[in-house]
Amino acid sequence: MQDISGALATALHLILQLEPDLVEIVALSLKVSISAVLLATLISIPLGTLLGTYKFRGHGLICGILNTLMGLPPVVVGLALYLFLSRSGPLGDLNLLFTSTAMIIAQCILVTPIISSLTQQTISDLFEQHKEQFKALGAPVHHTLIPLIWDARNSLLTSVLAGFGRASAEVGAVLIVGGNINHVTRVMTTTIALETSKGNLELAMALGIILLLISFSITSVMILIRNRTP
Amino acid sequence: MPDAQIYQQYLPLKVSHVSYRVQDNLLLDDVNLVFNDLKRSILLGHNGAGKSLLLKLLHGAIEPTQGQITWQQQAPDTRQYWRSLLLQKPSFFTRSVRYNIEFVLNLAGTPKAQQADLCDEALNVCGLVNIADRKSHLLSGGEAQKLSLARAWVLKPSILLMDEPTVALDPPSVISFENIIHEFMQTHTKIIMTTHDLAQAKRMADEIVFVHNGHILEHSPAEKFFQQPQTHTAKKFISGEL
Repeated sequence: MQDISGALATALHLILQLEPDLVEIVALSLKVSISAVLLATLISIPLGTLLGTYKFRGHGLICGILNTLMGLPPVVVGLALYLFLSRSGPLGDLNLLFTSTAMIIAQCILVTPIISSLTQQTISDLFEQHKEQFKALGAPVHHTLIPLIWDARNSLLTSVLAGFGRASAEVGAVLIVGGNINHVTRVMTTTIALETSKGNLELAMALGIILLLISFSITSVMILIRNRTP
Repeated sequence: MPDAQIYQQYLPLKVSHVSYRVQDNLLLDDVNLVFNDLKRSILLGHNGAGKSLLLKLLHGAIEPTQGQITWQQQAPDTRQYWRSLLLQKPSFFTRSVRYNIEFVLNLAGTPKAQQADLCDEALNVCGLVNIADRKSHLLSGGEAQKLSLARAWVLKPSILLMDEPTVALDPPSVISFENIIHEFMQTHTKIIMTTHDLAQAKRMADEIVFVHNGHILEHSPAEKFFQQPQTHTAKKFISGEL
């Protein structure tokens, strides 16, 4: 109980003081996770919409693979990306290993299957509801995609939130490809892991609370946006 | 469009030996029909008789498993906007009434400059002016069917196919709906509609196609059908015994 109250006091102290190191870590965490989720959204909404409306050879296989990838273990993604980006790997010349870009790519790989699968399911259900009407109107599928995405916007926002939850809470992949380098690739989750291993539980818990607060704030803002959308 | 022009362009509608089968179930069996004038044609019969199926086949939304349907010698294609199909349960985008009408104008490739005027006209004819900005999911059943009609009106169809459009409406909404259909009649639109409602069929039909268990049992002028039905089944249907 003392640990928790001590951690709360430390967290408050750190937040109120706006300690530069902490601000840097929080800013990098947000930059990495938000960039990864934005990138994943740009890929996933069109991909999920196409999979939700068009049926083609191999459609079931792709949907099955995406569903399976929703549960991708972050350390496996981190390891695979590490092998690709390491100096001897196929993308070694890009010099991306131990950079925030590598961390964004890792989180994007983890989040894309989640947003894509949820988008596919949402759009597919909605398309089924309108399918007969579209036929009656003589509406080709490509004419219906934008209105369908607009009608599904609240559910799609929830999918993006689920993706953000996954990205912001992720440790394994960013630790491997980022290297947890102070002032370069150190984010909140990797700092929590590091401080815990050093026995600095108060600081680790304080960071955990800040992470929760940030996650809660972003989710709340997105829910507010969702509820205000006419 | 004058009658003769519609006849020349789109009629006769010929249904030749059309059957429709789903697995082992024969839902329509060797249907033969010809529609060759602008009479209001009502497909009459019980639920499950095959009326809606026949209507969707005429529209081209589904294809027959056997036989042939031709509009002036051409097979139906859903992207022929001179023909509109109204569904029993229409669906709309959850946006304004106006947006849903403009959507079909975009589909048909109507120039943007003409869209506002056409949309206003359809809203006016279908009595939707006051709720043009209302979201479609807030419409009543009657208003939804009026929107469905407005969506058809903007495309100025020569043929209007309707699948039991008033089945879930109260009597005032049915009358209001039928009044809009009369507006379509004024523009020389050929009406083909399904119903199981005898009173409505009597009010609206010029000719009756009586469908029973996937077969066409009668195709005759409405007056003759109601006064001297030719089949025992039709007699029982009219007397309410079936």
